[in-house]
Amino acid sequence: MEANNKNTKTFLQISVHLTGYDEMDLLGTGMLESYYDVVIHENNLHLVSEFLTTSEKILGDLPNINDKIRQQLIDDVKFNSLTSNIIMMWYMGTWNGNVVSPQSYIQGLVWKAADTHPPGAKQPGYGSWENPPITIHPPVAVKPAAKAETLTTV
Amino acid sequence: MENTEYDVIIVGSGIAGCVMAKTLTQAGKKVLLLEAGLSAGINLDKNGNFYNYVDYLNTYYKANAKVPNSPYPNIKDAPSPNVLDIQATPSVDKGYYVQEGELPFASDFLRGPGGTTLHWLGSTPRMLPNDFQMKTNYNVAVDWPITYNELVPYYEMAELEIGVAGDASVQPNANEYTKGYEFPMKKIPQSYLDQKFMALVDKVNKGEHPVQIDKKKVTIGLTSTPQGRNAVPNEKYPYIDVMWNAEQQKLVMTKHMYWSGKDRAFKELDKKEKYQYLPVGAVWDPNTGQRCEGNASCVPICPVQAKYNALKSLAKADESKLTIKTQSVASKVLHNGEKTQITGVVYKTYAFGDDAIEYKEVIATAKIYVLAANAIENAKILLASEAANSSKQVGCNLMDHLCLLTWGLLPEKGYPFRGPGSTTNISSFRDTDTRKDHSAWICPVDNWGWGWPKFSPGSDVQDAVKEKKFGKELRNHLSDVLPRQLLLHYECEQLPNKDNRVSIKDEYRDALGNHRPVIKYNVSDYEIKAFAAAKAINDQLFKAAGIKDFTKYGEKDENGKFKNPDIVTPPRSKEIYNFWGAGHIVGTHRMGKDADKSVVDKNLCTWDHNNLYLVGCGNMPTLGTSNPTLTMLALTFKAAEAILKKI
Amino acid sequence: MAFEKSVKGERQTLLPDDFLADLPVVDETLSIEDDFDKKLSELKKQLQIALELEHSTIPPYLCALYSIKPGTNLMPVEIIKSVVLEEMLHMIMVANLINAVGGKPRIGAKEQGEDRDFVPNYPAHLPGNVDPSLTINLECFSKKSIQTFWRIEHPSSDRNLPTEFSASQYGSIGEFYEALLKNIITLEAAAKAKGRSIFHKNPDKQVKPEHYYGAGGKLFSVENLEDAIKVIKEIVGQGEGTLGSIFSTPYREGDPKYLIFGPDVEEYAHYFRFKEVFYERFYAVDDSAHRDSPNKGLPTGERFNVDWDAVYKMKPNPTLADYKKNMPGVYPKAREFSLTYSALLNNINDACNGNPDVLSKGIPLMYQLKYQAIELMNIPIGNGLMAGPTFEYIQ
Ligand SMILES: Cc1cc2nc3c(=O)[nH]c(=O)nc-3n(C[C@H](O)[C@H](O)[C@H](O)COP(=O)(O)OP(=O)(O)OC[C@H]3O[C@@H](n4cnc5c(N)ncnc54)[C@H](O)[C@@H]3O)c2cc1C
Ligand code: SF4
Repeated sequence: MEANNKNTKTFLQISVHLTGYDEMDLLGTGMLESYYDVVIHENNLHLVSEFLTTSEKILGDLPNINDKIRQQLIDDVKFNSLTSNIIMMWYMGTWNGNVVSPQSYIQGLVWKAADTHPPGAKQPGYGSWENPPITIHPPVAVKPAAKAETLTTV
Repeated sequence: MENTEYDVIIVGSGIAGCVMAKTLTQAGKKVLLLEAGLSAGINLDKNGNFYNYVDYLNTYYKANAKVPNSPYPNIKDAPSPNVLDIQATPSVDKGYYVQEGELPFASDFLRGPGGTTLHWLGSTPRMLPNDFQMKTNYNVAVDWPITYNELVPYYEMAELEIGVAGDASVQPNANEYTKGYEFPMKKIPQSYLDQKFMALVDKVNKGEHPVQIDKKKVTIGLTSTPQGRNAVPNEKYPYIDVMWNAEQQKLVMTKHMYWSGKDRAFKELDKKEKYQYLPVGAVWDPNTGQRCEGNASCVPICPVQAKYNALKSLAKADESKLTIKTQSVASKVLHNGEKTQITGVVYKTYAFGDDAIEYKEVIATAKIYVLAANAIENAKILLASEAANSSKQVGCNLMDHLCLLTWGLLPEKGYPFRGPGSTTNISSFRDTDTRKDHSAWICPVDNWGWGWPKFSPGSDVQDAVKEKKFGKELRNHLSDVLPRQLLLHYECEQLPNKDNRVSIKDEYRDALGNHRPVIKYNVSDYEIKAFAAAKAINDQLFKAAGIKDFTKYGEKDENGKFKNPDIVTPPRSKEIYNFWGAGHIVGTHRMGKDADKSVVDKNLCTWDHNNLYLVGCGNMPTLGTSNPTLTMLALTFKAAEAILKKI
Repeated sequence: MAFEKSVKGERQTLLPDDFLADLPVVDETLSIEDDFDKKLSELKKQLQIALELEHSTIPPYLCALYSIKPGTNLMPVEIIKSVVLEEMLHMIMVANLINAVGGKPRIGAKEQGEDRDFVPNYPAHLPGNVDPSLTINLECFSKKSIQTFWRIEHPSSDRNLPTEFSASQYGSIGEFYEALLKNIITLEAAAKAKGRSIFHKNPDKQVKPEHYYGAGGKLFSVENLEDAIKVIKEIVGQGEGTLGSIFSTPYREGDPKYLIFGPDVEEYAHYFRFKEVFYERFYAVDDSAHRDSPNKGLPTGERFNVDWDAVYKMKPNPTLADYKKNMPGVYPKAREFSLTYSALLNNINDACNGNPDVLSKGIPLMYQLKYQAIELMNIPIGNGLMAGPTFEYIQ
């Protein structure tokens, strides 16, 4: 599952800004390839390719990235539902309400966001619920990303 | 006609049927167990069992709506109801139930090996002594033919069988337990969320604005909930097994004898060995599920089987005495002219052939028959057989706990979506004088956020995305909101009512030609008044505790239909309340002391047929405020004892 | 030498006749004053090595286990999982043994000291000079790694035990333990002769069954020689099973000693379990464990599915230093992993040094370790390889 293909890479990088999780978090789910496939297969290819081109441009302007995303991917009706679906897929593992695969359910980011684990998987062990989760991270500050978070490892 | 002669035929391998089979075979009786569901589910070979369970788990992961029955196969030859099919009444087209009542009956069950315990939550509080005498104490409903005290020894057997973890000393009726009694396992730790909530309640109780009823202060009391999931064994617990003592003609709890599966006999414990209760792990591996691992998915499926399910009991049966027939759906019991005796049970089998399903109809006979197919299916079988119904009570008095849900955001994070479904309950309203007037309730504190009414956290993500949140803003929003979700559910006791009933009609049948249950259901003012009373308390509590209320009843979907069609309005009021089903399906063949007002006697034998026994929640004359299965299992042991006395 | 089987949940340890057939003769020259003390302190050192030995195999087993893609290879997962859990149990029992003879088990603590060698630098040799020809790696599940594992658990064929313990080499873990046990017996006999015992009564330091649950079998605490023998038999029994005799004694047809498999037998030694994974089938009831038997000691029973490709191909022996220098993106996750691992070692260290109650608090850490490892194994680092867990102690 190498993110060597340029489109996958763009998809990954725009996903970072759509979800609020960094590249390593997204790669760590192991879902990148199959989510990219879903995007390709469930949508008009032309639309996807436009989406990726637009994303690439947006990614070139990191200081204003959140504004750009809002204007061009969210407020623009052309991409709105595609963008929402992508966010839902990363968070819930579903596409249009359908679970992509058993793993996609397990890897949903929402469980991380809620400092828990998907019910029925990644169990934390006896008595863990008695204490606060061991994963509590301080909330992430909302600020435009200052510099490119590139995939340094590929 | 089969020519094998069985001592007992049991219909259904849920908790009632499995424990019956275990108890009878260990006492040397020859038993035939008929089970409607698929053979794969009862695989007693450990690898096969494991693979089958992994299938369930993957089906669950893949399910779009993770409702109680989502992991399990729904078979057209023995269908199960599904909560997703519940819609406004009347409804005949959707799902298994035919709903003809004012309100839809909203609880489901599972037809398959192990039955509904595969997806039960596992809470096991006992009923309170007063619950058995509602007529005498509060002038409503009926009294049971037995008292709490008579049931105590059987409660203790049930608590051993299920493997209850809990602290007996803090239970509301602790002083009515056998002196010094302990549960097999120590209490399941109460969740961090519980602790946060309890601290808030404590402040309210002691603060300037305590909760009031009729201007009088009430103290809200919370208790840790006893439950059937594995925890740290209690070294003080002395019992090993439940054994039939032929001399004393009763079931006893042993301290020195244990059932040896290998030798198929009760054996004396090695004197040198110090006994300690050993939690019962997964059916495929005793080392798995030795403790609840906090999967937080008890309903619908416990991945490690730390939670009790009926297959654990079945695994302890004496295999040499037990014949199990799966994919065998009982449709009728047969009786002779005078009707005093049942003479056989008719069941239909379905088998998956090369290209078509093959069906067969078979009759099996035994000395004694036990229906353990659950309250709704037992009633159906009796009605189809025109059996046991001289009182005209079969199918009547269908009851459930009516769950009034309330939800809000805690002022601080309690980190829900972790641990077993519920570890603590508000117990102080389980038996008060107001029972003359309206239902009592128990109120579990839920550990799984707003999942039940709102499908959280999915709906929270969806809503936030609709509001155009994305990136870190979205992430921060979710990590702020989700960990603060609090859900309570007030489980209100429903009284028996002969018009709430299960019946059959020839036009509604399943693929095998068996009847679908036709249900008439409603709730009465007695219960609706409880919703108002509970909500009033809840509102004060939320306000005083700084819990931001998000409870909303009567919500509609995109098509303008009520999301939850179980909606009621109290008399002379404009308020509306939604209630949800608890899965506690009770009362369709109640026990009693008079043959003309009840279906079974206090030994769970039908008044009409002296060799037909009914087990399951259908026997319970009233519901109390406890989840019913523990009490039902206590009654099952009582029935097993009566059967063993008879043969 | 010993093998363990569990029939319908009732465990029995079956010991062939030759287990410690020649009980050591008490060394008359052992003077309780000087030699004895020296020998006892040597024994404690050996026990610490045993602890390190038990630990050293855990990270490699975990890497293989976690590298298996979720939902695949169900049987191999179950088998490796049961082995790791037993290794963890062994580690704690060895700690009990150390406490019993008045020593101080050093787990996380050792990594904080001067002699930071509790955690091996993988690729590594087994501690204690056990089978020095063997190299163990942090690497993914493969035929090769499974072969390494069965070599780790390999029964020894050489029955000539070295006489001097500390300076010697051992053909197998079993031999190491047999020598250890002989030393314990000798020392205890010498102590007994002077009306003393090497065993301290310090039950508070013992981790007992109530502190540990579930898989891996029964946990024994140690208070006397009998317990010590029991613990070592359990460890050796679970690891290698029939030990040397399947290689050293001639095959006799139908010898029940080697008919150790079957439907009633719920677990048998790791060595055989790894063979099952390698050959993708279970042992059959009438399979013999002996290598000269018709089945050559190999499994011929029911087949199960092993998908050797459904694996995250982690780059072997990852290190924090490498990530920091060459893959700074991965480094924070690897560091988080190492922190969890270190916290876990500290937790076990605490539990084995007078706070047994804290052991249960380590369970969430153990699970966390797994989820973090799998996250790393999902991160591609080029050349078709994946990142992996860095089993390094950091603070
Ligand atoms: C979501 C949910 C949560 C619950 N939580 C709790 C809880 O926390 N505490 C509690 O006390 N209770 C709880 N319950 C209720 C509990 O699950 C039931 O009371 C209990 O499982 C009923 O057991 P049973 O053996 O009577 O019936 P079932 O478990 O329903 O078993 C009946 C068996 O009979 C078989 N069968 C049915 N019809 C036929 C036929 N015609 N022929 C042959 N076999 C047949 C079925 O396949 C099944 O195996 C819950 C229920 C639900 C739905
Ligand atoms: S919390 Fe998890 S492990 Fe515990 S009973 Fe529920 S599902 Fe099973």
